[in-house]
Amino acid sequence: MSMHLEWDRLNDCVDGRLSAADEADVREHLAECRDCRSAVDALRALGAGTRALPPAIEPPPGLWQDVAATIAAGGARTGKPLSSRPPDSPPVVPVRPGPSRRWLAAAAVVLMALSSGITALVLRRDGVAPVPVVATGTPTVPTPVAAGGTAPVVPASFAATEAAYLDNLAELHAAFVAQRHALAPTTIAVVERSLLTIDAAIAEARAALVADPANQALAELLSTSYRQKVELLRRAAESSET
Amino acid sequence: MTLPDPRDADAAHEAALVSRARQGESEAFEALYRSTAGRVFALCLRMSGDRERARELAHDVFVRAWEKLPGFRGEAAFSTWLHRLAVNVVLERQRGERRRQAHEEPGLEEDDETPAMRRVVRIDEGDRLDLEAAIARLPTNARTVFVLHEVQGYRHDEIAQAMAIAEGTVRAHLHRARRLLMEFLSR
Ligand SMILES: [Zn+2]
Repeated sequence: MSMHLEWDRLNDCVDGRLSAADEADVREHLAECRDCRSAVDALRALGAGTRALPPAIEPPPGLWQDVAATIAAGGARTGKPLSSRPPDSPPVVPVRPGPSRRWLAAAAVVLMALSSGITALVLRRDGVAPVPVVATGTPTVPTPVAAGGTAPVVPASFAATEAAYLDNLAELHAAFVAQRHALAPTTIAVVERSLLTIDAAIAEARAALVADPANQALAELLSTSYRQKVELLRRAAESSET
Repeated sequence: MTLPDPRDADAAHEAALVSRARQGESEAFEALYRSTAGRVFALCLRMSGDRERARELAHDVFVRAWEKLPGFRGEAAFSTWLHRLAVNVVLERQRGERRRQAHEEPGLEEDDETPAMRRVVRIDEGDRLDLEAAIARLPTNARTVFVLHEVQGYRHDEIAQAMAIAEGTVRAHLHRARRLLMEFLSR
């Protein structure tokens, strides 16, 4: 009897991926080798068992509430006016009970995403000359329309969205400040560093949008940056509850 | 994809929900969530091998779906579109983690073939949970390829494209996954 079939050939046989010539060789071997036949049977059983796994698994409770909260915090979708929602009901971000999530990891993702996003987006709009982006020297200013109200105005289509974000952020930021004592110093440091980065990204995206009000991609980017700030503060608040 | 098309009535109902959700109606989106969350969560759980991770992934999938819904033009069934989106979200996350960890290569770690693969493994109803657990134990790339191929029904070339690896590598991951599963299950 010839040598046993290699594992790759057994797999290809089960998957129907053998050439006609190989197929004949393999069949010949299988006809006379019980071991290899067993291996093929086992592979087929594994495949059948896997295909028989239930297509759906009950998601953990509360998942929809989390999704809904995130969506609400995001306000209107970019490119969609807020008008489909009542203007007097700003999105609410409930603070979830329960164990803290891996928000540090989330913060890292946020930082990665933000560091590469804006420059690429602003510089690479198809064929259009690069938009001059005013780098902000004071990234710590969290709200562009804070006290003085001197910040240039975003396009009307985005104003309601921004207002909703700012309401939310004010609330979340207050909660974060109130809970600082419950947080580890390293946690506070990471959150504050992340906030600086996000604020800088917000300021940059906002300036770009003011300069180019019709640019939906910039509106989307600004919205994403606000949403990430909401998420960061929300997770920070959660982490202090444990 | 081998996902069955919903029946016509369901499809019409779904299309109506999608249309309302695209207008920003969150109740319609919630209805879509209710009808698809189980499958999306199963996909996230099997591809990640971790419940907590799967929860985060499924969350991201639906948030992304909400954001991208205005761009959904109904060329495919919503469930098909959503599953592709879910696969992309999971793969993106894995790529991000690989970059951060920097040491895990997308290639194959070689290990010896063992006689275990020659043993007959029977998988019946009672062994389902063992199989789920065994899939969860697989190395990331092997698990990803196995789930996409065996559970989701993607072809080798589709997986290669989605994961940005060679087709030969897909095949190697798949064969390795099966060998490891047989080892895990025959203990
Ligand atoms: Zn043999």
